[in-house]
Order: sequence, then C-alpha cells, then structure tokens
Amino acid sequence: LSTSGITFRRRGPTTLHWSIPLMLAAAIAQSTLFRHLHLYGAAPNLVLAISVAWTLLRGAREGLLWAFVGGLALDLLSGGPLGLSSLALVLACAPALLTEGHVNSRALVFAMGAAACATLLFNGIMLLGLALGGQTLDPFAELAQRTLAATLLNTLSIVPIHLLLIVAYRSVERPEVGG
Amino acid sequence: MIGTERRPGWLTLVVLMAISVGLIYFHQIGLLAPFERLAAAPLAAVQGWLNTNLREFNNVVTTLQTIGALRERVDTLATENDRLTVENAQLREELNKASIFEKLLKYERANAELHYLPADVIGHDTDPNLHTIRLNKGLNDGVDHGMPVVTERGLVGRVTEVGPNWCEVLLLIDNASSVRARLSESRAEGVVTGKDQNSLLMDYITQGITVSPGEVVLTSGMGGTFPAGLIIGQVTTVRQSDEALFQQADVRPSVDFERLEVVLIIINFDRPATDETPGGPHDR
Repeated sequence: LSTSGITFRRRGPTTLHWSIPLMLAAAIAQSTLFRHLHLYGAAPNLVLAISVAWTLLRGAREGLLWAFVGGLALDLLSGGPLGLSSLALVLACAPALLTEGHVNSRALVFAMGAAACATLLFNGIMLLGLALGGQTLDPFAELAQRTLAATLLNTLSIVPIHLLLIVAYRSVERPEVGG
Repeated sequence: MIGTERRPGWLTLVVLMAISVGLIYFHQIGLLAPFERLAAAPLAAVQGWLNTNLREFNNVVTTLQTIGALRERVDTLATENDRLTVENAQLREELNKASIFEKLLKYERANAELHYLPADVIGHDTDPNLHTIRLNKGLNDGVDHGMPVVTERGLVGRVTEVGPNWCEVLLLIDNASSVRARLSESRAEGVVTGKDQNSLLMDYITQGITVSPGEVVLTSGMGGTFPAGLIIGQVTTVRQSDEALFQQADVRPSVDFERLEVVLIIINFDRPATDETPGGPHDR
C-alpha cells in the first residue's frame, strides 16, 4: 500500500478489538442519531460506510471482519434475523477482494464508488433475505427509491468517514520512507 | 505479497458467510434467542438513554429553529388581529345601524300614509346653546324647509335650513322650538317648547282640565306644522295655579337627542306656507 512515495507497514496482526466498540457505537448512532437524517425513507448507513472505508484502508480480510462485527451490531438493534446484516455487509465488502492491489483504494473517488456499490449490494441482499424469511415488503418502486436514496446518502457520508479513518489509520501505522 | 494476502481474504469471506448463515439458521430455530436478549439488553439501554437525550436536544434545536418562524407568525397574527379588530368595529357599527334601520322601517310601515327619507346625522351644532343637527340629505334628495323629522321613538324636530346635500334640523329641545301638542288622555292642548337638554315644557294648557303625570304628549296637527299623532314625550310634572291663566307641564322627550344617528324626514307632509305657532315667540 503506497501513496506519494510513503509505504505503510502493518503494526499489529489485526485491529479487530477496536471494531467491536466502534461498530456497536456506530450501530447505536445509526439507530438514534442518523435516523433523523432521512431522505425518501432512507438514512445513511454509518456501519456500512465504516466497513467499506476500513476495508479500503486496511485490506479486505480485516475489512470483512469489521463488516461482520458491524453486521452483528446492526442485527442486535434490529428486528431482523441475527446474521442477515452480517452476511449482507460481508458480501457488500467482498468485491474489495477483487480490486485489492489493483487500484489505489485510498482515493476518495474510489471510496465513494465502493460505498455506492456496497450499498446496492447490501440493500439487495437484505431485501432478498427478508423476502425469503417471509417478510412483506413495500412495493418495488418504493424499495428502489429508498435504495437509491440510501446509495446517495452513503456515497456522501463515506467522504468524512474515509478522511477520518485515514487519520486514524496513520495513527496505528508507522510510515517508512522508501518503496 | 498480494497473492499471499488474497487467499486468507477469500477464506475469511467464506468463513464469515458460513457463520452468518449459521447464525440466521440458529436464529430461525430460536436457539439464539437467549443470547440475543442478553446482548441486546445493554445496547437497548444505551439506545434508550441516547434517544431520550437526543429527543430533548431535538426539542431544543427545533424550538430554536422555529423561533424565527414563530416571531414571523406572531407578527402576521398581530396584523391579522388589528385588521379583524377594525373589521369587527365596522361590523358592530353596521349592526347598530341595521338595528336602527330596522326600528325605523317598522315605524315607517306602521305609519304608511307618510313617506319617509332616511338620513344620517352628520353633525351637531357647535354652539352648546343651540340644539340643531345636520343631516346628509338636502335639496337634491327632495328635502325642503319645514319638513318634520322623526325617529321610531317620536318627533325630533323640523328642517330649518336646506343645502344641496345637507339640511339642518331644529330639535324639539331647542328653546326656539315650539310645537302644538295634545295630551293623549285628557285631550288637553298646548304648546311644547324646548326647555333644556332633557326636558320640554308644555304651556298654554287650559285651566280646569286635569292633567296627570305619565300622560303621553302628541302633536296635535293644529297649524299644519306637523302631522297629528307624532309622539313628543311624557308628562313628568304638572304646574297648576289658580292665579295663572294656563297650566304648565314638564315633559320628558321620548327621543334621546344625545344618541341620534339615523332619522326619518317626512317628505310628503303638506303644510301651510307660513308656520302658525300661537304663543311661540321663539319659533323659527
């Protein structure tokens, strides 16, 4: 992982211990603070944005673990089946496995695109899971509208989150000059 | 380097998906319910605390946000209130006028042989010693000098001056006014003149006739100045002396001259060319 000639070396094996309190806090914030910031029935998915941003910064393997923890936190605060958000969020972050090492994953534009794709995937899997579980869903038009609104909100909300996490990432990584 | 990291990444994905699917399955069969309850309890507590505080915070923010709008609303309502107050006053005025007109109309219908022209009182005499009023009807409306003016309560006076769109009425209470009158029960006749703001004097009542307080005083029609039978007032006190040639009576006018707003001018009453008011030295 290299940017502007600076190479970052992993300090520890994983940051999973940070993910639990952070994702729980994010899930709670999402269910309380962020639900007021709605657009066409959709609210920004803070947990998803953090998962995507962390996946892009720390690699797919660690990002998937964060996504899994975040999904569990969402499930604990949701009426849906435990594990569904985890599955959806893990799958939403999974494309990072394909792009890892091929693109500059720390570019803001890439992060925004990744957030949009992840939102579409996450919402699609969630809806599919709920439908398979026998949940009665809103008409397709409303779902599509809500999904598009969520995509827009997450694409925008990942910008500050991505920038904040870069700062946090630098605090746990020791930069070394050289290639 | 990339190749070595990609494999554990895929493995992680598969493992996490498997765990997730397993969780969903165990959730569906209810095996995870105790764990979920246990794990969700502290989260719910935090969630509840945060939500309550957030609601209060939201209330504060909402209040702050709405202050501007509320001020604007208050201004709008104050303006609206002012407008409605004025409108209300105008409507009350209209109502009062309508009430007066209703009474006048009833009077007019009860006295259908006479033709009336309603007129607004537009002014009172500036000299406190004179008791005249000015009406908004004049020559253009067919008003002429000497026409009697009444309300539903009785005689007001008669037209003494006429302009194109106004006329002046000499009130009964003016001491220059004199009207030939008759008492309703004793049928005694006399001349009513103005005495002061609230009373009239009926003079030249023939001795020997018993006049009682409370008797209604009407126009006699004699002399042709006024039609007969118009109410003037009511006798309050009678002054009778054997030495005097005539009796006198104080009369309380039936019309409240302080509150005249709308009056009726009798426009079809034929009167003689010259006023005949015996004993009326102040007649004008």
